[in-house]
Amino acid sequence: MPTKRLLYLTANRLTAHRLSRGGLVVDATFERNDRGIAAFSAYLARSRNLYYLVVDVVEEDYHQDTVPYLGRGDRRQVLARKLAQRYRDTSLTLSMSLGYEKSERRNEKVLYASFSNTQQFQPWLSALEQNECRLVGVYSTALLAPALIKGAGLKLPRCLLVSVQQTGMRQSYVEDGKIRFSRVGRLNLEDAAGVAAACASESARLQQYLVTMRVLPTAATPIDVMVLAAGHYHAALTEACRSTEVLHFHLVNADSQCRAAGLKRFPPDAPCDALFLHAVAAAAPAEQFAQEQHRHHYRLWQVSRGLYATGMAVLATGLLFAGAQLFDVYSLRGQIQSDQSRFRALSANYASVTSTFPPTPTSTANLKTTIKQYHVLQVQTTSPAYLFADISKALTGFPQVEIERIQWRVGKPQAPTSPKGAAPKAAPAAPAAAADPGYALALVSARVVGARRDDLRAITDTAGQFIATLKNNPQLEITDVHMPFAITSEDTLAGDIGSERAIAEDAAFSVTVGRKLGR
Amino acid sequence: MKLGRKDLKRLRLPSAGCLALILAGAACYFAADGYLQETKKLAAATSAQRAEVQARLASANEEEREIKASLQQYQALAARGIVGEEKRLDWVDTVTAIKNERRLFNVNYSIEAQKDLDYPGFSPGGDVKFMASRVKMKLQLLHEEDLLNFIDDLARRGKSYLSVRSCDVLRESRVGGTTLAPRLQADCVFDLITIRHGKPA
Repeated sequence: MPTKRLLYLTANRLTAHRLSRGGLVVDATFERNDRGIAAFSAYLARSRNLYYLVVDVVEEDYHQDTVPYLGRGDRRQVLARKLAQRYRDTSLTLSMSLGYEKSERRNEKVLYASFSNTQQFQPWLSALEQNECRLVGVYSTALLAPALIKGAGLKLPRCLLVSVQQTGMRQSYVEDGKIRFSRVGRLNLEDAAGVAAACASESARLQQYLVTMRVLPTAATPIDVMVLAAGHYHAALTEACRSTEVLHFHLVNADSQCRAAGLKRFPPDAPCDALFLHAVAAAAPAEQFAQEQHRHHYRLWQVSRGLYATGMAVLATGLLFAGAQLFDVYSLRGQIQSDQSRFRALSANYASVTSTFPPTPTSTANLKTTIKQYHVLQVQTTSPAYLFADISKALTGFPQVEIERIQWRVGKPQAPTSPKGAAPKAAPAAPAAAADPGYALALVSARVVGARRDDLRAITDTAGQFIATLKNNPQLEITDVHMPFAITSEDTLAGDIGSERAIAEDAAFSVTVGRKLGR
Repeated sequence: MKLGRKDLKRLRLPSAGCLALILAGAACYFAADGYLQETKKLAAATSAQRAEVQARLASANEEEREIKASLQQYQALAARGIVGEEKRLDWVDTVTAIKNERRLFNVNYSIEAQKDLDYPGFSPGGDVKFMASRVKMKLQLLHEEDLLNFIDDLARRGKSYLSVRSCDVLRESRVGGTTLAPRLQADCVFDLITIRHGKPA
C-alpha cells in the first residue's frame, strides 16, 4: 500500500512531510530555486507514494456567482466557460457548488477559485509529472478550513477561521460548511501582541468586507471567529480578542488541537500548518485545483487498484459462495454418515430377521420372480377343452348342424372380414397391452344337413340360430362369420329351384369363436 | 481520462491480476458447487438405500409369508420336473404310456430346439429363464374326447409345463360300418416349458 506524502508549498519553499507512527515528520525542505527543484525531483525519483500538494500562497482568488439550473453536461460546459472567462490560466482552478437559491428559477450558487500566479507552481508540478508521481490533488489551505473548524468541535453556520501560520495570518470565511472567501496577511510572528492585535482588528475588517461584498446579508450579522494559533500566542490573544456584538471569538490552541487530532509529533514552529496537512491526509476534500493532466498517474493507480479490487471482490464472492456450499456439504456429510450408520444397523437387523426365514433353493428374488412369471404363464395358457365344451353345448339343440373342422389356437383375433349373410357381433378390440394374455380362438367349420337345396331360408335360419346360441354364451365372443349363402344386397345370390340335387351338400358355414384368457 | 499505449501497457499486469482473481473466484465457486452436487447425489442415494432397507425391515413379516407361499409353489413345480433341465425322454415315455393307456391310434411328434420363451411379458436375460421347446404332433382319433383326455394326461404327467398353442381337428372322410377306424385327424402345436436359474442361492 503506498504511503501518503504531504507537500506543503509556500511562495518560497516546499516542505515534504509524512505521517509516521502518529507523528507528522518533515522529510525534506526544498527552496524555490534550481537546486531545490532538482533536489525535489531526486526526492521523487522512483517514488510509488501518493502526493497531496497543500498550497499556502497569497495569490489566490475567490468569487461567488450564480448559474442557471442546468443538466449535468450543460452545467460542466457553463462552469468551464465561466472559469475561462474569469481566469487567464485555468490550469489550477475549481468551481464549487454552494447550493441553490430558493427563488423560483432555482439558480445555483457557485464559488470559483484559482491561484492568480500559477507559474510559481509549474516547476514543482513538472517535477511530479516527470517522475510519474501519483498526485492526488492540489489543495489550498482555505479548502481545508471547514475540516479544521469541524475538527475543533465548533458547529457554527458562519465562521471565520483565523489561523496564524508561517506565511502569515490566513483568514478563511466558511458558511454552512463551505469556504466562501480567504486571504493571507503578512505578520511579524515574533511579536505576539502584534499578532493578537492583528487577529482582532483584521477579523473586524474582514467582517465589514464581507458585508460590502454581500457575502453577509447585513452589517449587524454576527459571525463566529475561530482563532487558531500556537500556544505561546494565547495569552496575548485572550487579551486582544474580545467578543463584540458581531464577532464572537473562539480561541483554539493549535498545539493542543494537534495532539487532540492524534499527532504525537509535529513541527513545533508550525502547529497550524501541521493541522492543515493532517486534515488533508485524514479526509481530503473532493474539491481541489489540479486538472486531469496533473492527476493522470494517480488515476492510473486508481484504475489499477480498481482492477485488483474487482478481482478481489469476485474472488471473495466466489470464496463466500464456496464457503456457503462447503457448509452445506458439511451438513450433508453429517446426514450421509447418519444414513450410512443407520443403514448398517438396519441391514444387520434385517439380516438377523431374514436368517429365520426358511431356506430356499434359489435366491429370494429368483424365487419370487419364478412364481410371478409362472402365474403370468398360467394366465396365457389354456386347454382346448373349455372352448370345445362351449361349442358342444351349443350344438346340443341343433342335430341338423354337423361340425366338419375346428381350428383351435391361442392368439389374437384377426380383424373380421366382410360378413357373408348375417352381420356378426362386433369384434373385440385388439389387445393394447404387451402382457395381454390374448384369446383362445376356434374357427368352427360346419354344415347344415338334411335340408332341401332350394330352401335357403331354412338353411340360413338354422345356421343363424346356431351362431346366436353361441353368442348367447357370455364367455364367448364371435369374431368372424361366413353364412351358407350370400343373402345381403351387396353380394350375388344364385339358386337352382326344382333341381334333382334336392339335398343341400354345399350348405357350409363357419364361425370364429373367442374366449378371453385369464377370465 | 484518456489512456495512451504506455498506460495500457502499465495496466497489463493489473488486468491480468484481475482476470486471474476472477478466474480463481469462479473456479472456487464451480468447484464447490460441483462438490455440493456430488454430495447431494450421494446423500440422496444413501437416503434412498436407508429408506429401502427400512421398508424391507418393516415388511419382513409379509416377506416371510410371501417367501413361504412362493417356496411352496416352487417346490411343487420342482417336484413336477418343471424346474431344471428339460427331460425329453421322460416326456416321450409319458406320451407312449398315455397312447397305450388310452388306446389311441398313431401319434406322430417332432420336438424343435429349445429357445427362450417369447410370450407377452417374458423377456430373455435375467437370472430366471423360461425355456420352451415347440412340439408338433399329429394324432388320429376316434372321438374328440380322446384329444382332450390326451392333452389333460400330458399336462398332468409330463415333466414340463404344457402350453397348447393350437389344435386343428378335422373330420376324416366318413367311414361306414362298424369298423374301428380313426374318425378325426388332429394337428396340434404344444410348448414344453421348463424353468432355469442362473445361479443357486
